[in-house]
Amino acid sequence: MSYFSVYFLVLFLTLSLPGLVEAADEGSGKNVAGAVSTVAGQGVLEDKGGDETEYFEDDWLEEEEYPVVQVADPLEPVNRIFFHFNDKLYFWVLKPLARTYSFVTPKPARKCVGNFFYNLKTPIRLVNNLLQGKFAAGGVELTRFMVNTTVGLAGLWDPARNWLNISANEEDFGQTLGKYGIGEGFYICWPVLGPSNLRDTLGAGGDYFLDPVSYLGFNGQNDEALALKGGETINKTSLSLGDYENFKNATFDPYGALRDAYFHKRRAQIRDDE
Amino acid sequence: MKLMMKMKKILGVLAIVCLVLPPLVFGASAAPIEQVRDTVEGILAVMRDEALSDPAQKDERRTKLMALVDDRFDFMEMAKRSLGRNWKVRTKEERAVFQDLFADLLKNTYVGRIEAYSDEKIEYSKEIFGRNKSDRAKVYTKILKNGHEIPINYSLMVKGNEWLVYDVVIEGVSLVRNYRTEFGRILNKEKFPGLLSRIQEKIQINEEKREK
Repeated sequence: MSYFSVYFLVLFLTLSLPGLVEAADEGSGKNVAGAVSTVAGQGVLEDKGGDETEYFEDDWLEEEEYPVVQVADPLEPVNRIFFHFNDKLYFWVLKPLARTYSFVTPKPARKCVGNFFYNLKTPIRLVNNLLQGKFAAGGVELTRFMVNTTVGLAGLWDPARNWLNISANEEDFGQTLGKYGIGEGFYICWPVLGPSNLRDTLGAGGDYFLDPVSYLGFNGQNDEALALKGGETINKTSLSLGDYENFKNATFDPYGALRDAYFHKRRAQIRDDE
Repeated sequence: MKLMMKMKKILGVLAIVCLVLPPLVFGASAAPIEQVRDTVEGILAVMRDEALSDPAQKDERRTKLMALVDDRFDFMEMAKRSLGRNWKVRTKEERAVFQDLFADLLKNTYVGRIEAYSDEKIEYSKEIFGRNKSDRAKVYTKILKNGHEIPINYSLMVKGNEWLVYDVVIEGVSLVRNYRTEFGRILNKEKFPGLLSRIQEKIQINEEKREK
């Protein structure tokens, strides 16, 4: 239970922080906590433009002196170490495991496993759609869950999408916080878990509690949950072998590129520009 | 009567203008979404082609893929945008060298990404046009992979009769923007010749990896 209380305490503090900073800004004109407020401000839709049909996200490309979108990365030295660690983890552990696994498990079966875990995570998407006021999308999640759990045999297949053409609207707690105007904070490259930022780390904590897998063997030992999450990761890796290699081939500084990509991806998700 | 004749003539001219002008103004005959679809499906067709899957056919397959990308991508525009203000201070020759190198790099990146999704279905969701700029469009596509939808969006511009891609945004990440940031960092440290050799090096490393 102490997990919960610590988590919500931290969450509460972060949630109230940007508000406090903004209030201070308004009051003094000069911002005392300038650094914090710029960081907090980045999470808000910074380039908001009219309605979608008229708005081009890449209009910045026109400008001579384009604004360089800076992402806060005060922990860069540590992050780089963890990036390196994750890189090795992928090539030395995850990839060989995933290859062996895909050798003995045909692709359709692995896709079913992926579908199963995806279906299991419905609570995360459902709750966060609702928290963002996306009630129709929340309804879609419920429908998908009911169809896929029954007709799709415990979520192994995705008839909701394949037959009924109902696809999911992916939302998570990090996006919800972003929608609420919570800033990104700074970049964190977690060992094993990979790219994130302060806000999304909190978000991931929230999602953890909405993920049914987390509750397996919750009484003291989490071995089953851990094993399942490990299995999920290997299954996922087996279906996306080569993606990371491609990414590395295409970039000059994979660490920096991954960091920037993470921020842009999250901003696009929060803006719902997909 | 004379007035009527004149009116008819004017109407006739107007009708012709109306028929002829839009294609002239908008240039392209087909919708951007159709043109993107043609190119992407063309690439997928080459990738799924059994006859070309033989290792001996590797070069031919590659040539075909690159030709398809060449027809749809505006590398000049992309090169320019990926350098940003640094483009302006470069000479014509430097630009040409850079553009060729960049095109090579980009083709590999893009084809690599599409290749990874070659057995997935691609959904062409929608196209939108720019405000006051009917010469610009964005085409939204989605790839379904492991239950996840991976958005790949194209930014296009009319050039002559065609809609040409000047940026590809994969999962919210713009290729041009990524390179602009990366090139900016390299230019700060190693200047323009340094950037050229870094790109060359990168292409060569990728080439060697492909040979294996």
